[in-house]
Formats: sequence, C-alpha cells, structure tokens
Amino acid sequence: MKYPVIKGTSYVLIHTPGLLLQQANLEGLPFSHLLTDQLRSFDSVAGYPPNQAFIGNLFPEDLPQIPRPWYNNSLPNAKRQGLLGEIFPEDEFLGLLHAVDVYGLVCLEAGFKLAVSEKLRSHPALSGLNGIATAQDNGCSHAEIQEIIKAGEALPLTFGGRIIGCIRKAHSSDSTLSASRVLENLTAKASAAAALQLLFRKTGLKPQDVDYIIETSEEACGDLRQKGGGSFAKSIAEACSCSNASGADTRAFCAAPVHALMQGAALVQSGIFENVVVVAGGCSAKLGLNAGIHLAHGMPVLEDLLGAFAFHISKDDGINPIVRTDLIGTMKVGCGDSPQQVYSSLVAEPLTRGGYKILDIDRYAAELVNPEIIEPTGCGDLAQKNYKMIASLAVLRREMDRTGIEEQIQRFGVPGFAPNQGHIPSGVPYIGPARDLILRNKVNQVMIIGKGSLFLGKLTRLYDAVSLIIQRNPKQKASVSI
Amino acid sequence: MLKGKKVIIIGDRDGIPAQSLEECVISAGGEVIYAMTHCYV
Amino acid sequence: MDQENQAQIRALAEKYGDEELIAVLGSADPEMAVIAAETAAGSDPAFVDLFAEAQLGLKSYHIAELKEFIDHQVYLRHMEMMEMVLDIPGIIHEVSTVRKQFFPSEVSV
Repeated sequence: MKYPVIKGTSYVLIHTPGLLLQQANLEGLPFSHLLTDQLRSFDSVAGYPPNQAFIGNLFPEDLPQIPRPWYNNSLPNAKRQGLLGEIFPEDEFLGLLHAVDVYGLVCLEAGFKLAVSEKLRSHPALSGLNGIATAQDNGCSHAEIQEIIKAGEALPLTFGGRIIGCIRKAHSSDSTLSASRVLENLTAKASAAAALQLLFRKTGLKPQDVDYIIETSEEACGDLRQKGGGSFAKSIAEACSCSNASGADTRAFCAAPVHALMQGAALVQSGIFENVVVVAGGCSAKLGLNAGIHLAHGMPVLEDLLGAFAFHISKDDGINPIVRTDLIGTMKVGCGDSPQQVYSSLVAEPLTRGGYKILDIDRYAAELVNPEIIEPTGCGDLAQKNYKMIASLAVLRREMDRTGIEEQIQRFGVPGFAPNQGHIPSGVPYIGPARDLILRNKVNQVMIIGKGSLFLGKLTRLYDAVSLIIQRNPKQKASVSI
Repeated sequence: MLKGKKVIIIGDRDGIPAQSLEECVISAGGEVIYAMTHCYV
Repeated sequence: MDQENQAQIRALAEKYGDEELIAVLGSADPEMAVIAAETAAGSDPAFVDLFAEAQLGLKSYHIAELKEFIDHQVYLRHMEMMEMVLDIPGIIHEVSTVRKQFFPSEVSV
C-alpha cells in the first residue's frame, strides 16, 4: 500500500500578555487589574524550556532533565527561532492581526502600525503574507481609537500596557459578530496564517502548490443564522496566497487535529489531492485560563501564549515518515467511556490489526499540555496519566508484568510541553520531533492520540478520541537530517 | 450503601468518566439524578 | 467545577437534602478528588469569592470506595485497568478526610 507522508511541520508560539488581560477583563476576572509588567517578558517566555521544546530547539524527551520549576530555569541564549518553529512577540502579532483583517475591523495607531509593518516586512516568513507586502490604509490616530472604544464600538488592543489600537464589532446587533468574537476569530486566523507562512519557509512548499487546507481550531465563525458556518481554512489559504487551494474546517474539540490529519492523509492517499495542509491557530479565550490559580501559587501566569501549527501531508516520497492510514484508532459511539474500553479501542485494536503489540510503539504522544501549567489546578500531569493507562492496558493484555509500568512509561511517554490551548497540545506537537527522530533513524514508530471533550457542547455526553501511527518510511535508506 | 440513594455523578474525562460511574452506581442499586464529566484542560 | 454545574447540584441538594443524596466521584488523583469532594460539600475553592454562599452540603465517595457494593463484573469492566492507574489508598484517604471535616458524624464506608 502506498501511504501518504508527513512532509513538513511548523510550530508557532505567540506571546500575548495584552490579549490575556483583555480576556480577563471580558470575563470580569479578579486579576484583570494586574499590570502588564507583572506578566512574563518576551525574553522569559522565549527562554522557558517547554517553549524551546515546542519550537524544536530541545527534544521534549530532554525536559525532565531540567529542574522544575522551569519558569525559574530559563535556558541561556534561547532564541525565538527554532528548528521546527518560532516564538513571536505581541507587537508583531497585532501587525499580523491587522494584516489578515480584510474588513477594516482592526485599527492600529499610525506610528505603531508603521513600526510593526516594518518588522513584519523584514521577517523571512511573514513578509510574503497578503496585507503585509501590500500596503493598507494609514492607520488611526490615538484620539480616533479612544473615541471608537468609548462609544462601545470596539475593544482596545494594547502593547506594553498602552492602548495602540482597537478591534471593532462587525455588526451593530449580531452577537456572533461582536468585537470579542471578531477578536477570537481573527486571532485564530492570524496565528494559523503565521504557522502556514513558516511552513512554506521551512519546507520549500510553494503556496500555489497547496491543493487543500483543513483547519482544526475550536473557534466558530459565521453570523446570527449560521454561527459556525466557517471557513477559517479558505480565509487562511487566501491570506497566504494559496491561489490553487480550497479547504474547509474540521471540528471535534481537542481531537480535531488528529481527525484532520487522518482526513488529509486520506485525501492524499486516494489521489484526490497531492498536497494537503492541516493548520490551526490559537485560542484567545484560553489565555489566562488558570491565571488566578497560578497567582495564588506565587507562579508567573503561564497561559500567556497562543499556539499554532501547520502540517504538510503529501504523497509517498520514499523518505518522509508515513501515516498508517490502515491503523487508525477511534472511539466508537458504542464503546462508552470506560477507560479500559476506550484505550483498547484507541490503542490496542489498531495495533493488533497491524500485527503490533502495545510495547512495539517507540513513543506515545497524548495530551501534551505542559504539566507545570496544569498541575497547580490539582489535576496532575495529564500526559503521564494517559501513558499510565496505556502501560496498564499492556499489563491487562499480558504483554508485560505490572512491575514494568514505570519503566515503560519512561521509555514511550512523551512529556508534556505545549501551551494550554485545547486543540494545540492534543498529541500533534510531537509530530515535528517524531519526524526528525524517525528521519534520523532514532525512532521507528510513534502513536499520536487526540482527545476531545465533546460533552462541553451539551449535545452529547460522549467524549472523543482518535489515534494514528506515524512510521519510518520503509523505503528510507540512510539517516536524513531535516 | 448505594441502594435507594439518589446520586450525583462527578466524572473525570482523564479518570473515570460519567457513563462508567453511572453503570457502576446503577449496578449497586443507586439512582443517578445528575451526571457530568469534567475536563481540566 | 463550572458555575452552571454547581447551580444544578445546588438545586438538587436543596430538593432532596443530604440524607438521600450523595456524590460519586471518578477523579483521577487524590488532589482532584479533594477539590471535587470539597466542592460538593462546601464551595469550590477555585471560586471562593463568588461562591462563598454556595453550601452544597453533599457527601462524596470515590467510586473506588464503593467497590464492594458494585456488581463485580461491572466493576471489573470499568475499573480493572484503573485500579493499576489510580492511587487508590491516597484517594480514599483524602476523600474520607473531606467527609470527616464537613460531616463530623461521618463513619467509614
């Protein structure tokens, strides 16, 4: 069988303390009075070990060797650029937000806009984005911006604690087009566009060669009568000059990225499209989700980052790792939510189908949220919990003895390192490192697991999970560096 | 212990979710009147 | 626990009273079980200011504490693997401590 391959990946983090405070204000949270300088600086965000792992300057497997708390152990000489991605500061993000807005909803102060446009135009990946290469209007004055905000027509946009712009509502009475919804949606679009531009830069894939884009965030764009109409995918394709591409959105809460990888792989393997991109931007509503708890623990507010990613799936090139489309694991409706039935269906069943055992997998990657962010909430390390279930299932299936559980978790469990952005940590942050390790002959096969809390939408009490296996290309001869 | 009791189920997506708890409680003679599952991320 | 769920539980607690009504938890670790049990008994520590008045007054039991009352086959189907995953002694200790704290007349299961 000719399997599709993962031809390239890109990962983006965006430091957005201003957006975090805006979110806190919107929710009326008690810490919204915090000053910007009580939040992390860009340098401390860049040097934060899990972030360096996210952009590929460190393997997630090496994180446990760095003493906790990681926020007190910044990596020296950390760069914003990484082998697999890049970390962007908030001013560049606001410039991006303006660049991807095609309805004049984002107003930036003229001086700020000029300075940030200059930065974006000189950025090797972002300079090609529509709206950056081509000049837009000249921006607003500070007084104009204040006036729009005061009139209740817009929400402020801040940088370094100063209002430098605003985002307008897109309709006078439709709440699905309120300023806060426009901000959420343009945030998802802008951060996804950054990831896609970076993918082009890192892989050499040309925008005009992209056939289809699947977008997998957790936002909904539309209006009163079609609240989740979409399509983020096509808007991102347009912003990134993918003139030959179409696309659509896939939604399944945090499980969506793995569903989308499966769909993208199927589109390539069937021959419908040659080059498919799976992309997702970040979620502004999840910024500062546990900020109150972090502050109560005397920690910095760690949820100050948007995440985004883009993956290129293409036909077999004899080099890149393959997606085993014949070994997809799902959580069928009838499987219920009993943990051992879920993991049997998700992990053991597809492996058995392929003639593998649980312990044949070199790495499992599930719920890769950075434990330092979520442990203070009392929920423990979610990634490790998943691996404990997988190892325990191996015991139940008599693949190993109970005493080997810890050792196996150490061997196959990818530690959490992703920002707490819902769909972002859901297994897929490891696709980049996995591709690298497989190409360098260090690892043979990896299982990526996505889990989504469908029940939050109140249509079902079910949750969802899906798994796929990425494997060394059988035709790959020598070790290849990415 | 559970027989004749009305039970509120507080499940954990990454622990034991609601439907599993519900089956266990019903098998013990409890009556489930509200069930929810939590997700912490 | 979100405000909506707390409100629902409060309404049920008021309707039935704590003699008839209990909460059964599926928390994955002791710390989370404590938070859930305290929420059901008193108020959510994460929303102390907002919910100071919200005394739900419910006794909580973790599912692992109720093993002997549950049909053995049903229990095995849902819990056999989880017994390897969970810190059951830790969870039982923590949840029963919360019960004793909020309901001093409480005796062990």
